[in-house]
Amino acid sequence: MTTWTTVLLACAAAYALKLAGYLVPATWVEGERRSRVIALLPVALLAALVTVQTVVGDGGSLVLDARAAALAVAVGLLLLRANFLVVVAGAALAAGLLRAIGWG
Amino acid sequence: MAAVLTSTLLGVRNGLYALQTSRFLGVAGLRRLAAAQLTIDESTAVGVGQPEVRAQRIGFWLTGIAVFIGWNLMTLVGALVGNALGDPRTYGLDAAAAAAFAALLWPRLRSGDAAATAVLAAFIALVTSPSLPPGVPVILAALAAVVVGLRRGGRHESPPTSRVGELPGADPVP
Repeated sequence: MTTWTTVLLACAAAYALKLAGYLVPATWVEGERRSRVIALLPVALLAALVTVQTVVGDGGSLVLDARAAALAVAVGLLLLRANFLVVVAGAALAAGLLRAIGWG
Repeated sequence: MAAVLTSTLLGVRNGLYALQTSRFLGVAGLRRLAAAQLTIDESTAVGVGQPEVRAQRIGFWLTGIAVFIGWNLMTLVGALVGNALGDPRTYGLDAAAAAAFAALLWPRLRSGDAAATAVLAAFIALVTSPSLPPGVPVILAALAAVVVGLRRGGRHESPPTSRVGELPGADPVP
């Protein structure tokens, strides 16, 4: 398989998955409890994504490094009701500084 | 083939996002095809973080289009100048992404159900990551939404309420 075939196959699969979510019959996702589950799906997936981006290293191992420290800074800023951009910049700065001094 | 499988596993969550984004976008025809293309972490996070439907739609489309343009432009820049920029981690850019998703999620965690879902999902991702291929832990974390959402007598998730002195809908988003 050439590289281009691989890339195009991956693209097609990714797009098909997204489109499938839009084509699910309305009757499958009706009802109070199903609505509640679906409304909570992005919360679950994004929370898991943040977790993976923060403490999962190469090969799936759990590591505490500059990323975890940066997320702690972000949460601290959120508790202080800081502006969105301040939170993002603060986390980046924390990670950058920690790595500059050779940690994580 | 393994690469296609991995990327597809990473893409499953976009399909799950679509179940919720399709509810507030109300799209059909060509717009639905475009919405599917733009259904990603960023557009979903901004969309579901808004208090009312109009803002959800605007948030989704603006973020989706901005990321689409920015992503492709920066991919081109990266391909052209490549290593001249060095490792983006030097600037903490990887941490910035996680912080941005946490900040977008934050207002919703005031609801008990959402907070319980987030904690359970993070736990699932944590314990399954060491033993499962990339992408799978995040998909499994969807079970947190199922468990909390189907719980008998579960509380309704109330829309995010604005704090004193803050305009409704004035949530700080990019």
